[in-house]
Amino acid sequence: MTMEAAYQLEPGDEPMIGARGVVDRQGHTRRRRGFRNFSLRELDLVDSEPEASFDNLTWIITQILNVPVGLVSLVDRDLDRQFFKSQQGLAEPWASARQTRLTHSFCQQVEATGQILRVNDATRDPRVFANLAIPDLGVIAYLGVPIHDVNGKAIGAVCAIQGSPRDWTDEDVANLERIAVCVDELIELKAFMRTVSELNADQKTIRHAISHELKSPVCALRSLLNEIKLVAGDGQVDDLNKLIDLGQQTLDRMNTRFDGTTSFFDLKDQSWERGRVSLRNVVMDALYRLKFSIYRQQVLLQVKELPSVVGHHQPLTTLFRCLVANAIRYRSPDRRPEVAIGAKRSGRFVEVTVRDNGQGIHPNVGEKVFDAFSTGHALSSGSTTGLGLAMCRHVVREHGGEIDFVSKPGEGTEFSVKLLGYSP
Amino acid sequence: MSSEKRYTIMFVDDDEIDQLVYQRIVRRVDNVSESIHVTSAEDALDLLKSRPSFLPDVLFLDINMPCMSGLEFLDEVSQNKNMIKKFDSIAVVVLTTSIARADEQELQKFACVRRLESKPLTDESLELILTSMKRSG
Repeated sequence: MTMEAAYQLEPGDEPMIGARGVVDRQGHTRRRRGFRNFSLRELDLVDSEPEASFDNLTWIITQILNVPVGLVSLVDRDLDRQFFKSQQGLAEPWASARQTRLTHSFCQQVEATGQILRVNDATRDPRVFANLAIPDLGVIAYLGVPIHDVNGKAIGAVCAIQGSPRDWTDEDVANLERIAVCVDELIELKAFMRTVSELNADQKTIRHAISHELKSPVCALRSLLNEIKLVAGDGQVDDLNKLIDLGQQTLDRMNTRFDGTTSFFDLKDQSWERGRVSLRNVVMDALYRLKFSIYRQQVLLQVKELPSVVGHHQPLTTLFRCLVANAIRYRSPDRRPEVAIGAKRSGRFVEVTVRDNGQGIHPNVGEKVFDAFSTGHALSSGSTTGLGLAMCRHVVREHGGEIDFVSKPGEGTEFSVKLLGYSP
Repeated sequence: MSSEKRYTIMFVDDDEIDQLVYQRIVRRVDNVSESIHVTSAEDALDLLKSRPSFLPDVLFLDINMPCMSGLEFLDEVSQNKNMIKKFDSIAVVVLTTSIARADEQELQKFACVRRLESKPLTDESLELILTSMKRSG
């Protein structure tokens, strides 16, 4: 083999970046996920402990390519170094230091070009023969394949190294490319995990903002309106009073939404021990909490025999309280509200139904009724959180069950909840 | 009402609008003899420390305040011997826009905290609080 051929760049090695995502050399498309740019440190790729998932891959490199050294190297130009996220077979002090300066790095060329570097004999290869890795680390044969960040940019290499010349075969290259794809996917997984934890932190901030920062001006404004009303309240300014009342009602509604949103996320945060729960107790508890509106609206209640299910009392109470509250809230103006709660066994499951004779849900709404802030009714009507059924769906899913409804506008709605029945 | 006990009350809240409303409410409620309004927990501590004779019956405490929060104020109070003694006879009512579960548990540590009250404070709720103070002595 001539020297020319030994270090020829592989054509078409660079991953293709298209609109849909990154196409790797094996033709798999990795979708663009719209990650932000993470630094190596943010993804724990530098200055972090070794991890089994990376170490397993470098071990596989040494086994499959039959080389003494396998590396996952990240190129960190700001600090003039390459960091070994994983290394197998390096001698001391390199094995403990887990990094070298870039003067000692072949991998930096892979990172810079984004292409495979195939060096059969470093001492005779003009691209690398001055590299200090040759005298200091004893690198003679080197095969490196680029690894990428989530946006397809090369950030380092996986490489196989040995201390004597070697004619790398196309099969060697293909094997190492497969391992590089695994590393890319590990990096992507890290980006996912990082994104999830950032979103969680954001969500906590938003919840705090809702329950404090946004609520306090609402409370203050409500008190101010009250004071204005007292100043105005000499009987000659009915219009003004009416407007102030409306203003206060609006603020109350805002508060209800804020509270609903925070308690929705509080509920989602919780996890429950599941056990035997008496549905009868659950439903009675739920009805007790609604006693005032049941009394005020003169609701005709019918509760049939209810079995035990597998679950947790508190979230199930929230679920049925919400279903009954909705039945009362969206009652028909033409007749006395009726709510019937019953249950029947179906296999391992218990199907609980909550039936009302209310306004019904418009057929266009469909499944969307379970989405947050998408009630079948104008949100501005009455003081609802817009989250009740979203909360119900969450509780049912957490219980491994299903929730559904059938409705006839003008006649009523029946919600059915499938829960795992308790069998001793 | 006029023959009944009249209370000295103190409001610790950084929100100036809230404070303005408290002042107006207090003027309308007839069993308050004196109300003191301070806009930071630090000022409240200074006042309580520097005037040994100053002993409000009820202290309304906002939780969310910059610098020293209501919880930090209570921590500070419960670590100071003189203050502990003083707070034996001061009933603390915690005012807040919403009670986070964690805060609620935190607050249970403090014996002087008699009540959590959600904002906004109204004439009725202030009267109710003062009446219940009377019952519990």
